[in-house]
Amino acid sequence: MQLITCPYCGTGCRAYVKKELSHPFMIEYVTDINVPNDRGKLCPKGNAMFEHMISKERLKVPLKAVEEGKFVKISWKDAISEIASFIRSYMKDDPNKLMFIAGGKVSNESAYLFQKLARNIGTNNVDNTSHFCHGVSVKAILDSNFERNWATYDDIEDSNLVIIWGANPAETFPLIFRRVLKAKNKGAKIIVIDPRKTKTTKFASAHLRPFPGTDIALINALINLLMGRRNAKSAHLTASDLEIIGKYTPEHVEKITGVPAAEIEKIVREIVLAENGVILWGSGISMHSNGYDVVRSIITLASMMDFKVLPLAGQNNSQGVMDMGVVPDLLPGYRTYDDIDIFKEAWKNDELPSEMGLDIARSIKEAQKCNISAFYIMGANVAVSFPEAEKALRRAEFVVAQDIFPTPTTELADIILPAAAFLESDGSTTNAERRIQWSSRVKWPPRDAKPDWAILCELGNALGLEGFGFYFPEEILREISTLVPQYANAGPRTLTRTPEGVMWSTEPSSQPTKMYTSDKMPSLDTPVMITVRYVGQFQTGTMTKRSPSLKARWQELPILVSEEDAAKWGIKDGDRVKIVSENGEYIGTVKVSKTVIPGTIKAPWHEGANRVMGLKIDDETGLPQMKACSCTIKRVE
Amino acid sequence: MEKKVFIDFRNCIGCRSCEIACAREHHGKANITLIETSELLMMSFNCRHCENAPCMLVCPARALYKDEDGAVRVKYQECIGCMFCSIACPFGTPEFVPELKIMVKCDLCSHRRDEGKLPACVTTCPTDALIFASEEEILQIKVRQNLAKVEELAKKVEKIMGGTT
Repeated sequence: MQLITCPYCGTGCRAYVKKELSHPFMIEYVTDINVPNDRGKLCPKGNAMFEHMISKERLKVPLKAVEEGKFVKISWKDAISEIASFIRSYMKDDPNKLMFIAGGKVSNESAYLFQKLARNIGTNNVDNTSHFCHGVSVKAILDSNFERNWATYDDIEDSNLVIIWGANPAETFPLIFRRVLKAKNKGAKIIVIDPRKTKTTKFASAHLRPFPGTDIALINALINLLMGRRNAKSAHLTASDLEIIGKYTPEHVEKITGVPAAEIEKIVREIVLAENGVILWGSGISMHSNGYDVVRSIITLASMMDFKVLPLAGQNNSQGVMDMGVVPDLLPGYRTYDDIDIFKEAWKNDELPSEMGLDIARSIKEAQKCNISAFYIMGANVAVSFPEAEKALRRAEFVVAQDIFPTPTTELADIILPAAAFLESDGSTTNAERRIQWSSRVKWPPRDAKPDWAILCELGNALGLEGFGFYFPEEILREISTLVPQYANAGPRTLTRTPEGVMWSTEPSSQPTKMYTSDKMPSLDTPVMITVRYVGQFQTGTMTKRSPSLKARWQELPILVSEEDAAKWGIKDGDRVKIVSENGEYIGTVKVSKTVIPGTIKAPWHEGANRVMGLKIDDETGLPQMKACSCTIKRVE
Repeated sequence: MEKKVFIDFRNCIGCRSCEIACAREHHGKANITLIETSELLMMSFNCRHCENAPCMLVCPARALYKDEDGAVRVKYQECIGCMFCSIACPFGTPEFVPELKIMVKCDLCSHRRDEGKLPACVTTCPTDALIFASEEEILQIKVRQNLAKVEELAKKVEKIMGGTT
């Protein structure tokens, strides 16, 4: 029996795989050791984690585009030499015209090699798709020195107040929600702050419904009221902070958010009474253009009460790709470019770039202005998940896509490289509680497909770069453990022999928490579309739509509108509607629901509702608005 | 007393984990179904393995039997696919599989029980909404829950009335 990590969400669930002749991949639940998924339980995606791998649609051989959408088979040698010759033509003069995008679902080893390749080529234009959700939260926690209160899953069980902000763990993280329920059974209070009524709110003792995008006002009101309480620590707030906070009285906030002032006061009473609180948040707040500010404000709130915090990671290695430095502004181990000398020495390359690169959103914008010539995309379906990405990829001169299935992104590629699925190679991942876990290979990749790290090694060698001579992922992990302080204890020898996984090994800094307040708020006109996920589908459905049992149960996900809005717009259950914004449109079937507040439309983002958003990068915060957008809705026949 | 799968539908989050796990263990066909009665209210439903099972009574081929753990199961080689059992069943659980030309129903994961494990749906349920227990155990759980409520109430009353504890 082999121990593996689930390739879907960021919970990092573990399972045994049993091989029998009639059933080559039987899942057995892990009940004997301490794993992130309590008692080895699995959600539907986890139960179906092998189905996509044996799909007949897998990419099996390298392909080259002869014209858009038409591909011919080529050999690995030709594919690699073609990519290498293109990259070499830019490497000397203008490496910053290349952009490297990794998905949040690659192993730590592949992620590490990916940024090593990009930086050795000479550009810091390297980013991961989790940057604008989980990455924002991680950066905020580290920037405010709050790592010491970063919760583990066990902390959720031991707390007596759980605040879930902008997330629906019952749908997106059922196994983290299990911990919340266990806390509830021990007597903990659960407060959910979410505009929607969800399966999570069913279990909540209080539910606040702020209008999408107005969370910052609510947090400021909570801080404001908490300052008046005796046991809250507010000494570190500066005068300018107090000025901002002072404006947000409960009555004022009621007007902005639509949450009754009495409810806010009730929540404050709960917060003051709680001894061990924990705040969980998801992409519902971090994917707004003010995501960083909201997360920092939540941390301020948490530090006043000494609560723990836990950002919920959307993809199985969202945390790991951040740790590995697959971001334009940070090197592996969250080192800044001041520490570049360490890597110059370790990678034996004196010409590493030290200016900040472009993130995904900016690269998409730049590509449309023809400032980016090539994209190297590893395990990400950006054409569906990012607005305007399709336009950018069409504009680019050369696109390499490395994936396991044909997707709308690979359709736009010049070279498609067939990759091994996560469970077809050994590798480690890091979950939302920062537990590094080793996952074994359960089967060989189909035909000519290769693991991501092996492809990157070949490309690195073809480019004549030093330090790409790896034959096993363990060797890469060895290098990671010497260079990334958080992974110092996670050397291959230890990690492969520790089924429970290894936690981050750095001591959290003893500096006081940096308080931060803000009043930046995105302005959204009604109706506002928010995009949500469902439990049986994952991201753009590259994997889940190829899993027969998941596909059959989660088809035709509806667009939810409130009863009031439905009456106003004259639409009813089962109508086909078109959501139109200035950037695109999305067609789906409507369901009139009591769960959404008037003025909002809830669309599933597995079908690409995100593309409607438009990529508006906020000038002040530098983040794109990716959670909600103003739109209009029309009935179509 | 035989053990059966019970559901505490207050805990059900409608994730369909049970369906998918059941489908995996039973060659792609799920014998447990999640029913969403209205928005945000759902419960899983499988064969009740009735004590006085109507499906067993009506089967003309005597293909249905109770095994040693009390699970009502189908002898596949004897089933003639007449669908009488699904007509007789008040819940309509036995289902006809056209490829095999026989009726298929929940067997409480007999292959897992042989290894001393719980049925797959119960093992995987993320919120412990599915419980594998005998009726007596379920009653005990209910009594314990009610006792806890009464105790809480008593404490409140004492607080108001100024009791000693």
